[in-house]
Amino acid sequence: MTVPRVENLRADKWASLTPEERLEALQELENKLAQQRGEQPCLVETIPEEDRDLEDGEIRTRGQYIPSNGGPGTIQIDPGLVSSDQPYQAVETLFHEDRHAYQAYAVQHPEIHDNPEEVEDWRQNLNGGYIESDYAYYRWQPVEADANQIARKRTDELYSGEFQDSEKYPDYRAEKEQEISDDIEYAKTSIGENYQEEARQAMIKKYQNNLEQQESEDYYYGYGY
Amino acid sequence: MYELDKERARKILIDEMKLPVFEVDLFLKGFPPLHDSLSSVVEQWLKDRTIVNVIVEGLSITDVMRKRRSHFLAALRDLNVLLDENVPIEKRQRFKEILKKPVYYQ
Repeated sequence: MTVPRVENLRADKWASLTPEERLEALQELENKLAQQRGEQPCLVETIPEEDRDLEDGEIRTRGQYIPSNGGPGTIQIDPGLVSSDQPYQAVETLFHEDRHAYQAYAVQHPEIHDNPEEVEDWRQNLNGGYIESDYAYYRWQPVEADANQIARKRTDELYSGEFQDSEKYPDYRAEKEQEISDDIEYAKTSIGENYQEEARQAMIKKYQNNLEQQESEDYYYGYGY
Repeated sequence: MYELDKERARKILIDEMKLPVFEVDLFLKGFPPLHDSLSSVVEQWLKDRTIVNVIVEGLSITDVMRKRRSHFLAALRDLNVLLDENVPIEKRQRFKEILKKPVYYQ
């Protein structure tokens, strides 16, 4: 699937836009991505002030996907990324969150994805198996590893490929490659050489653990003790 | 080497810090013995949750907690790597550089 082209996401165009126009450009990208898949697009907005997770004045959550029952969800982006005169991280975050929307859709409609084992991992990951409190497990659990990988690939396709951005994008790309390399080294040191499989196994155990707990609660309440 | 009292730590992480039980057990299962120089810092925390701002190889635990968005024991585990002589020096230096960088969630 080719990456959609949205002219206002070119670095030179983006720099001249207002934050509202930049958000519109991100929404247009989301519309085109959803259209390619035959889904309804998510609403794209900035993370509301009350939900911002600040550390030293900087937001530490780049974006989030909020699913909705029975309709398209919402993608929220760090407003600092939208204010930045470089579009790359905002666009990469949009690709990342859009992938989460796709994963959730694929769990509901497994026939759309060509790898059933991957969908089963996503299903467990999104239904009680999600790990948040330890960065190595968080970063390499199936839904996050996949969203990061796809977002990196698509951002490259858009800026190195479609836009032929050879001015500022190569520096951003080098930073991202360093970030990935750091995340791998951190995970190898923290949870072992087989970090991705370790994270996957932990996710499966957490999912099963939750399932057993739910079943035992259902039994307890079901029999009126 | 200093062995963490995992039962006490478990109770604090679950009851006071409200971390998910499964994730606490996963974390404590992989928690290594610590360098002796960190023992008093852990004992103090176990006693009353005071975080003594220990500095290891120029990195303070509060900085690591903030940058890596980690709780006290996770930051301590990370700093312990810098003191672990079984880890090659180049790997420790690389790890130290990683601990200086912020992590982001998305």
